[in-house]
Amino acid sequence: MKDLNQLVLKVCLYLLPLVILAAGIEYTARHLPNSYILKKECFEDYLDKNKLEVLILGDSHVLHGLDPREFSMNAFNMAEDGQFLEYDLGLLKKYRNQMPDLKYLVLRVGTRAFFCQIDDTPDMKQAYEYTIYYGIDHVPWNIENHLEIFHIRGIEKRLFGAKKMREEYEPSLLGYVPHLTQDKSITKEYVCTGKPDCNCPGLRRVRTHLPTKPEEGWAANTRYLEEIIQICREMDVKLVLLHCPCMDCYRAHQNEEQTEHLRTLCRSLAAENKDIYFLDLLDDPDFVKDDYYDVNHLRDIGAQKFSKKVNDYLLRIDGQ
Amino acid sequence: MLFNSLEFAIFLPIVFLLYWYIFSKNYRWQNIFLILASGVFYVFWDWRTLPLIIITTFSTWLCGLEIHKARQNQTPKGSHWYQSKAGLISAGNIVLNLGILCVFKYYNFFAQSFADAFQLFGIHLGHTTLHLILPLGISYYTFRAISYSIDVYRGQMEPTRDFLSFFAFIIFFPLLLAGPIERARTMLGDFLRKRVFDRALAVDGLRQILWGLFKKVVIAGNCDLFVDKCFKANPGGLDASVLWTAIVLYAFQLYADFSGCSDIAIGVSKLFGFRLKRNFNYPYFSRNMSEFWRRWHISLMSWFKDYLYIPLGGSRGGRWKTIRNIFIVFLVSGLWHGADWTFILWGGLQAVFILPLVLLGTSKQYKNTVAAEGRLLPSGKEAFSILTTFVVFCFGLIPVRSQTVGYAFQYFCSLFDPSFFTSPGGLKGNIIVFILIMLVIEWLQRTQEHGLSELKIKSKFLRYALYYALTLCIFWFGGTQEAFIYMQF
Repeated sequence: MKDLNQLVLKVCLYLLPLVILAAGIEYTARHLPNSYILKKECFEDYLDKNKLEVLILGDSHVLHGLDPREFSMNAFNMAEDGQFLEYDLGLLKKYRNQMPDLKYLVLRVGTRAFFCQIDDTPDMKQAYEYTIYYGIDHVPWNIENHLEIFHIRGIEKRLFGAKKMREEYEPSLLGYVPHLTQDKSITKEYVCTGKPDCNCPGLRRVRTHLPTKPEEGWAANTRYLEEIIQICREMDVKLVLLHCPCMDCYRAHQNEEQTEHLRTLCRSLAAENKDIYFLDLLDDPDFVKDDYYDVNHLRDIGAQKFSKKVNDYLLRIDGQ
Repeated sequence: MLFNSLEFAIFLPIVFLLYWYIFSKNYRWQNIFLILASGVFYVFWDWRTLPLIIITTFSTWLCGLEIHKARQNQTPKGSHWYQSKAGLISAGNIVLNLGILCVFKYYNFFAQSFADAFQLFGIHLGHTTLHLILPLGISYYTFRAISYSIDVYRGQMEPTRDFLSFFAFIIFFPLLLAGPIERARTMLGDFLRKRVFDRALAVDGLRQILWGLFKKVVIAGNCDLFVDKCFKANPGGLDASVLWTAIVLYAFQLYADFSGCSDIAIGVSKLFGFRLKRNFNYPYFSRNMSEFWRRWHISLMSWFKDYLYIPLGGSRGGRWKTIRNIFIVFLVSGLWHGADWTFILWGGLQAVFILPLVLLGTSKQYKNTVAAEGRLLPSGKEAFSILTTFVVFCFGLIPVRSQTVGYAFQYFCSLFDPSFFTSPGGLKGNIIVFILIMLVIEWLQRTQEHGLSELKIKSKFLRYALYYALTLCIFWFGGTQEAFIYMQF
């Protein structure tokens, strides 16, 4: 027994510096700015000082596509890259009591958002950010979502770039992250045949967005949508379901059956509920090739156009 | 629950402390607790296949007793197994265990292969595909069970009347994921007596776990990114230099993954007072393929030697019979690894690689010796032999990583292209550094049981610095791949 006690003690002593190091890294990582921390600070500051009227939720399509400064009402863009409906709902629940003047919730809809679940996508790697910084837990519970220490790859970049990141974060953009004109992603010429064997960037991107379990994804995401609708009703907020534009080569390879399924749901929700609206800009011909940063994301000039259209739509609803 | 998961990092200390502090009164309590802990470990994977391991255990245990009884009452009738009751019982148990294994692992493969074969003659055979989950460790515990009934039949061991001890042996959680395939005649005895805490053994076990984790998490995990990307692409569209790099990295990934898993399993067993045989003996320092197969997955190869190769006649029936037996062993070994033609091709290739050594009579040339014995560096001839053996093994691995035999052939052909002389894009320098660290440590330790056993570093400070460096590497540079490759086998 003495030998055993000694070994246990020795192992504890061996692990002690590692535990202290891990705790230090955890503490440091939680205090290093990243887009989630900065956005949260900015949003909470905005809520303290302003009466928020339009809240934008969704993924990268609206994060880079909707500029709240183009809106006539007080708006804030709370979208994030790969933000699924589960987290849109979580954010709405978290801040519902701090948004008494909210009139509109603009919620992006899309086949990926409705047929995929975060667990089946690479975006799962950022689920912990919502747990740690917003307190939105993911089901099933996983300890890795509660600790930064499990996600410390590249922490040195965060450590050395912390000051610069905080300085460069622009609160006046109100959560919007523009893809600048000079940063256009697609530089090579390509031909899209629209066939399954074509080698255009649209097909390559669609492939990365394919759901692994579409039925399960649909069931889970429509449940989240129902909850969002319920909360909007309780808050007396109008819900605008927004179908974002994309380039033809992306559109040509999308699963048409899933797209129509989603459209049918949105149309029926809008038809049956006077406080739900559906703005479908997926096939809007006003968006041309130069408006895009890549196959499914707008760049700044496209975002300006997109934001104006959404704003006009909100004004039309407001005028009714 | 994987060895490299957080769940296991919590599970293991709890089980270890309870085992030694609460349940160490006698071997029965120790075994009961090990069964419970192993049950929890198993249920973490899938509780639905738990009855299978219970069926295997119970039937094998019962057969062992019946075989022993039949042997005692046996009156000589003939020399063949089918002429005695004990032989028939033993065969029945083997058929039952292999039957379960075949249904769960091979049914779909054989049904599809038969249907494809008939399709060649224009006959369409409809077959049902079974959607079954592969029970955790079925290939490993089935082989452990079979070896028990054969050994009892051969009179090489006495059967045990203690069902709980036998169950603890079969379900022992460190060996569930990917072996080693420990024989009952060497390990069961440990379950039948009280284990006493041995500090030196436990410390060595901890070192072995650390070394295994380093290999699995850092080396195998980082190689996976590059290898996976290459083997998903069309080989014709990649430079030959990339294809060569991918197959070399895959060789290191496979070794680091499997030997890492074995090191962890053996290390964990040591924590509970079990001293297991090594499963790998630095195979990449082998000087020919025959030596390589004496050093790679030792528990499986010795299993096949004792229960297949020797019963078939081994090397006693002349050259052609030896060649036939070698082919049978390697083809069955390929099939054991996976239900696919790619694995059978792999097995066939290994037999072909060994054939020249058998024909030249040099297959036992390097038995019981290590490369550069007593020296720091190998001679030029040894270095060339080691490198050649490694390259040959790499060639043999192509089918294992390929989806189809056609893909493997295409990959092989694409290796010989002028683009071999280009720089392989996408290869990160840290992978090479980690592999070099592993090779240097293992080369220096090649006469020891594992990479960290009985280190020759005198300074305690430097020894601990090495342990801390490896631990930090595991946390900081851990790769993406989580599951063990050999679990699927």
